[in-house]
Amino acid sequence: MNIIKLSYKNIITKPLQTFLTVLILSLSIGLLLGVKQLNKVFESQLNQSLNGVDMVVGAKGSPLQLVLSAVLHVDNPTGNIAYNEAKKIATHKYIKDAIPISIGDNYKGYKIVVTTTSFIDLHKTEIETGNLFKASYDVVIGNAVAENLNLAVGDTFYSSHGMIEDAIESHDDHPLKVVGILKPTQNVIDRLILTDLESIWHMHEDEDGDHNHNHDNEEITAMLIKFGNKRGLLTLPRSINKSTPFQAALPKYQLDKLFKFTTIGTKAITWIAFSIFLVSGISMFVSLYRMVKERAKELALIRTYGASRNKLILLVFAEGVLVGVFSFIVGLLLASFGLQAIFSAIKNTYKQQLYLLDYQQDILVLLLFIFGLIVIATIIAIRPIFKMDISKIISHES
Amino acid sequence: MLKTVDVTFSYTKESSFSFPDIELNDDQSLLILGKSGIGKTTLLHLLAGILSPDEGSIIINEKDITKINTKKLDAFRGENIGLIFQNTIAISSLTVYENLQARLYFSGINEQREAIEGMLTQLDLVSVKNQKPNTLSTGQLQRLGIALGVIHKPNIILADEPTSSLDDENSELVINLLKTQAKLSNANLIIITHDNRIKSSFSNTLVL
Repeated sequence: MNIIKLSYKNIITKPLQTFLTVLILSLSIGLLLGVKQLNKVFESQLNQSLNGVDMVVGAKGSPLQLVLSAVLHVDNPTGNIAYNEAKKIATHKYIKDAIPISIGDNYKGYKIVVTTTSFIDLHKTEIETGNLFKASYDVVIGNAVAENLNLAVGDTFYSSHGMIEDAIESHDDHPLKVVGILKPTQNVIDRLILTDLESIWHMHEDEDGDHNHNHDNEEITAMLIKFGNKRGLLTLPRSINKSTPFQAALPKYQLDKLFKFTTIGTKAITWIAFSIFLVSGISMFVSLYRMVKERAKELALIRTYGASRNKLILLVFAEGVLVGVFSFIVGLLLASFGLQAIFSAIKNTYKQQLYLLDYQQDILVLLLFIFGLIVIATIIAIRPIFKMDISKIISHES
Repeated sequence: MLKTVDVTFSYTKESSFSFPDIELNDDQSLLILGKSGIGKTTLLHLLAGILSPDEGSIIINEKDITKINTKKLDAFRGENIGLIFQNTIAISSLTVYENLQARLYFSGINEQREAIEGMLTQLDLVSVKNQKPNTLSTGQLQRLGIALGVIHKPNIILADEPTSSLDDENSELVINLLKTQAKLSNANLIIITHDNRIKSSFSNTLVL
């Protein structure tokens, strides 16, 4: 026999009350842990995927849509822009890098980005297996694409028009050949298929039967811009939006705005979770207080056995700790399974694998919170122990 | 060995008690008789160290328990005193066996499986050792109370009205059990009661 065993025996004699306390405490733990982790993962994903892109130039329309399609690759493009005109903007003295991208085709839902090798440098990755694209119809694939579609260097496939998986129209005459697989980065490039601008132009020329096509009139979807001089941030977007048929959008600004909107929901859930956490704290206090009051006779008996007042306090605290630990385990399981389900749904929809971020740190912080909750609940609940008149309690029972 | 000298106690200014001195040598028994409200239970709780006297000394095994601090008194009580109540109090969430384990644990005594099994056999509680106290009969509960009072082999066994609600036969049975356990533990047995039926079982009596 020991304090823990006795506390455990006490807890299981009041299953309904224990169940309710565990239920609401574990629910709040699961929500707090889950929401915090989701916020962290999404914010990190957004920031990671920016990769230092200061500005996106594309067709006029929604600036957020332009950023989502050209930077995060989760939306349809706003339209196309003339490559030659866009190249003129890229010559501005404040601009360090300008990377053209063209999107519009996919293979089994994985977007094909027509670009230059600078796009790979932008995402701070390199070839893991094989080589960069050189010839027409060569493609380099992201690590997640290779893994999920079981593609290897040398494999060929046919791309489809549009952004949707299983599109009816496909480029059946021109198979794309995997020549390289990129190292994993945990950001958007992992789920992209990259090919050279030239190769797609050739593909479309072949389909049109026009082999003397002049590339001067080619179009791209957007130009990703990195400034060499940050003054460009202040002047260029306004100037492009005012004096060109293009639209300039600032990804950081747009994503911050988007994140502010999305965090309204997560903040609301966090506050609800905190409220439930508070209610579970009250429930735990009521449970411990009732134990002290209803079992006063037994606690007095234990004092006659030689137990000090501190031992009785330890008994109450142990009961709180047992409920807290059990709730924490259930809450942790809830959060972990919930997050895995959400990550799995995101992977299925957006082909992006997400990973937990500083999860142990969040768990530790929450553990400290729960410990604090138990300590506070115990401190309030043990007050009758200090006022306990053993003689009176025992006399009334004798 | 137990000795009290000039012990007084008061709950309020109006109700104060002065108790006669008591002196018991090893394994002596004492029956304290008195009407209700005369202070019998108060005296018992003073001897158990649950109450502190206003004045006087209570010496158990050459230690004056009125002079030691609360923490040491708790430990001393756990080790040396065995309390038996008229209505047995036990921990409701534990079985009979576990109650005896808890008794030893809180008295700071390492679990003695053989001692518990022996006690259960002596008091005919083996068949109910895995039952919770609320499922026991009155007689079984009474015997559990005795077991809880003596399992740790105390120096003094204090019983509060142990026979008041029992018939003659069971009353004699309980007194014999208490005497046997006191003898086995080499302990002083002090019973407080207003039940004159058991007077003949004791040679040493004190009337309050």
